[in-house]
Amino acid sequence: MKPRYVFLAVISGLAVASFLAPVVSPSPLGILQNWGLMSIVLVALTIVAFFFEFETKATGSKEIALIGILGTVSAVVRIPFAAIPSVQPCTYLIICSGYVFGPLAGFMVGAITALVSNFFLGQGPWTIYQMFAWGLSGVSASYLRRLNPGRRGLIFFGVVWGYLFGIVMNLWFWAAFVYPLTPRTFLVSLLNSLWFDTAHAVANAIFLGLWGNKTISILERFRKRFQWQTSGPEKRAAALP
Amino acid sequence: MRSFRYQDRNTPVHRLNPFPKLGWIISILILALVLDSPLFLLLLFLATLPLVRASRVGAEWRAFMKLALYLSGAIILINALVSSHGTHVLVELPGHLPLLGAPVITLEAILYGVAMSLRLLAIISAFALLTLTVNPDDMMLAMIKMKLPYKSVLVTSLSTRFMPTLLDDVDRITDVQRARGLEMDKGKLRQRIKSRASIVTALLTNSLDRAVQVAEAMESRAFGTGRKRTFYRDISFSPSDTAALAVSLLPGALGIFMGTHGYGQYQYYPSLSWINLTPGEWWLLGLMVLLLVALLPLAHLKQRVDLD
Amino acid sequence: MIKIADLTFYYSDTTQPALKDVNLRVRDGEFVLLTGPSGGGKSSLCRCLNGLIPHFYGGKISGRVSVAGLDTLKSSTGELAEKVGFVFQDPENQLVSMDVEREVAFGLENLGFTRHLIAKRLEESLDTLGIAGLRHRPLSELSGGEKQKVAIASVLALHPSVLILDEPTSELDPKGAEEVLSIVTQLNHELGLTVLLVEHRLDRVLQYADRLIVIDKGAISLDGGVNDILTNRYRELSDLGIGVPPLIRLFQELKKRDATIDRVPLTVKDGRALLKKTLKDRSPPADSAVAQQKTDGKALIEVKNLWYAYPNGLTALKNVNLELRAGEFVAVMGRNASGKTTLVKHFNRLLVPTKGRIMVDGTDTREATIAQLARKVGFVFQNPNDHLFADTVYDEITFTLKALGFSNDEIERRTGQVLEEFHLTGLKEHYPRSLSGGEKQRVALASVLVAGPRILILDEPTRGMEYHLKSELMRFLKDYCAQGNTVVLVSHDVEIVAEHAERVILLSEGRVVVDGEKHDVLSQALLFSPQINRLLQPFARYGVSSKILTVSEALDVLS
Repeated sequence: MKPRYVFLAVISGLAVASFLAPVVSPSPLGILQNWGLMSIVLVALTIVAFFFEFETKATGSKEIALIGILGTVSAVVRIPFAAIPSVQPCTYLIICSGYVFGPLAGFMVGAITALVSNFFLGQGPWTIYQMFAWGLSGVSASYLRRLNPGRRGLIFFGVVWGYLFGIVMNLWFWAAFVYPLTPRTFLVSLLNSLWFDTAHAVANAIFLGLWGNKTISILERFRKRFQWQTSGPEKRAAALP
Repeated sequence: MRSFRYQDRNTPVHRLNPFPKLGWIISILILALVLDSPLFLLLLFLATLPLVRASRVGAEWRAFMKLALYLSGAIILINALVSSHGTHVLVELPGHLPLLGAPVITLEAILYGVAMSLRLLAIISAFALLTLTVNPDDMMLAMIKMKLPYKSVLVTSLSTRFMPTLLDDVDRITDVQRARGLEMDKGKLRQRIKSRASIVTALLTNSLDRAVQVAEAMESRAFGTGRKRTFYRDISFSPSDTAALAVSLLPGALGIFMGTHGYGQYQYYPSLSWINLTPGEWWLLGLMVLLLVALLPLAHLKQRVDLD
Repeated sequence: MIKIADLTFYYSDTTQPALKDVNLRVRDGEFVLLTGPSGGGKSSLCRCLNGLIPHFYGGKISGRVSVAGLDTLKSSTGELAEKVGFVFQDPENQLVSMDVEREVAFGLENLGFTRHLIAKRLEESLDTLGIAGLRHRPLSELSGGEKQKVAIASVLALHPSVLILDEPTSELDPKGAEEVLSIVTQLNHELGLTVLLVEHRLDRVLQYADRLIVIDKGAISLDGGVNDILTNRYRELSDLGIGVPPLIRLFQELKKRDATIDRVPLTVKDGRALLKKTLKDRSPPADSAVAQQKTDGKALIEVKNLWYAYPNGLTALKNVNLELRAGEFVAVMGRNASGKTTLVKHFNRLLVPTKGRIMVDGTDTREATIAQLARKVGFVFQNPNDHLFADTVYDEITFTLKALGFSNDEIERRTGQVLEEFHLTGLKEHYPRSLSGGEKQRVALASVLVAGPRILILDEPTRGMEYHLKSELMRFLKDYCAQGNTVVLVSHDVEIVAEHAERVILLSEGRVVVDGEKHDVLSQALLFSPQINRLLQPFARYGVSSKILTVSEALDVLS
């Protein structure tokens, strides 16, 4: 059985079980209602599932080198921008990567950005949520491409991800530290980071609006070069007549 | 920024195999999220301190804690504002706010916030220890050992490997642009962002060239031949490592036990009461602390752990 | 054994062949030196030998290539990896692991070797390269030369019978380059490895190579024994624009004038022996005083009691005092980490003195911004790629002017002028990064000089550069100087400095050790002496000046 189905089954099983747990409460299953714990487990499983998918789909050194280096670039560009609080170009680079190189590459670039930059900025429970949020922004960007979004679409997409990122990051904070867990308290938690998320959204909009198309064309130009050969050995090198 | 990364010190904690450390952190994460009682959470946090002390990363650890305290403030504030379940009203804010309604701040909500801060402090203290004492490189080895897919690990380690290189690139490119008259800190936000974009573009294009060369070099050394890959280095597991791993996971198991059986809980709302532990809970509390601290003597016991 | 028959190759989407009808046979154990202008096909040929072409690059290919019995068109790069070791130009980009041991083991792991065998091969390779002491060091802490040795060790571990090195020293300082080349020679001599070395600096390797091949425009334009080519086919070689070491150039000239010299020496030692014979037979040449020019231009840069300490506490400059004048061509030399780059970065305020001060054209650098100084001081970095980020050459050049706040008319005027001056007008709509190496260098220079600075600083501009590009750059710099401007050249390239600079400043451990006219500084300096000077040192007793640095000076004296 393919790993992806295993993961899909486990993740959905756990999610369903945690919904059903209250029905049989009180019982040892009550622990499944511990949202702080459950969300970490589910998010971590999702990331690992993507890793397994990458293992089977990535064909070789080109993808690995490209994704590794793009992850480093997007982690490193946090530095020149450190002087401008909460303006970070990572999200825009991850979105452009996903847009050009597809969902899996998008996820990996996003996840690696978080994991690797946190080796230098500090690991914490937030790492996996960042991996998850940035990863999904990369994945979604590759689907965005099918809609032919244009510049406005890209800007809108960046704004949406600025806030979505905040929502994902708050999810853990809310689930683990706030009582009671109601939609109302979730919204209040979001207010906590509203300023940062807005800055993030605005920055994404600026980056994607001003350089989105340029960056995408740089990556496209590279992709053309990079995928000179995409098929089996026979088609690799066309013999001259 | 320097202080938030791995600190190379030669202490028993640093030399400890990364797996017991990972197990220990997972245990703390489980315990922190399962336990409710302020007493349990306080002791959980305190139980992380002996290892922090033994690893001689106090200054860096405090930097993490500063960040944690800032987040703690947010936790206390939000809980105080959103929860109106308590009975001991301290402040009644006038007016009617959207989302919050007419906020009342209760003693119960404040205490809940404080307890949750302790939960956060315990978690961040543990992760600080992980960041500061586990070499990223050993983390990669651990990831391979955990049978995480190799290509994902390779991508990650490749990316880590290129961090210093690309940081140098950024410095150099920044110098080039500044020497050409680019003023990065002049003008409005938009202008400042704009002036940095030339650096991002140059870095990106440079790095893509690097990627091709890296791929060529990997290809030239038989990467992706389809043969089954072997691994030269591995994290060795001596019996003492296995013992340490087992001990490090025990508190987590204890946490799950307590979670499923309702120990270590405390009723904050509607009204505070004294913390009354049953004798069983006292035992559990003692056992938890003991198991968490047990990693330290194990680390001392173990002679130099050779990761080869 | 390498056999190439009728090899023609096109990269995808190109109409010009990168290689055209190449035929070549290399015997086992041969040491082949491969040279030629960049873009001429050297790298493509190398990549055909380990299967990167066509398996990695695609494209269209015809002909046959066989290496050690494997057909590279049919075998995978994985199979070929055990026959052909490939070392690339930039050590940084060919190392994928975090530390030395794991890097060397990488290829062996890919091939699925047992742990036991990997351990054995690892020891072997580390010992062969003499880097066993580095085994646990993180790669990011190693010097360029050490990294390149690790790269060699990591391919050697696969026990290849052919070793290909594509400009392995162009990113290294002289010491690193020397070490890498001597290891390559040793591998050829002692292990009998077939070596194909692509290299621009012929002076260090000519004596070890068996065979010299020049590749130009995708074809082999010269192929023969090193001695044969240098002695008998020298004209063909120089017509191809290949940079020949000064020693060879001198003896070729002498050969024309003096019938007793019938061959060309490959080493300075051999050259001395040859020269001794001829000089003995003749009356000692008159010691013509080497022409010394002094410039009395106005001081453009004044450095007073400059101290600089990096934030990490390392003191990089210690009490430096200098005066650089208008019209001077100054070279700053010194070992690695002697403070060369740190010093020149002060001239445009990229660094600010910890103590002391610097006046640039009458302005204290502490009271000016980098942008203000950019109109007075241009700074060109080693790698033109670091300069280039815009979509077109035109944008790249106007970027500087826009950053400096010039008016639109002025931008238009200056850009047009500079495009003309650097022969870039025809390329102005091109994407800068897809230009050739020489064109990129011109764009980088133009983008700096368009601001009209009177001082131009160049940090290692000739490293890894081929001969005719170096001469082109130097010609330009001399013209620029002649207009009353100052050039500050940070360089390891002794021959270039000896040929073109006027004044040399030698730094060591952050102090100025010597500062003076180049003939005074570069003669008898061992590490910093040019080949001709080393050749002529022992002939002082025959009345030959010990301050001779270049071929033309030597010819003046010896004729």
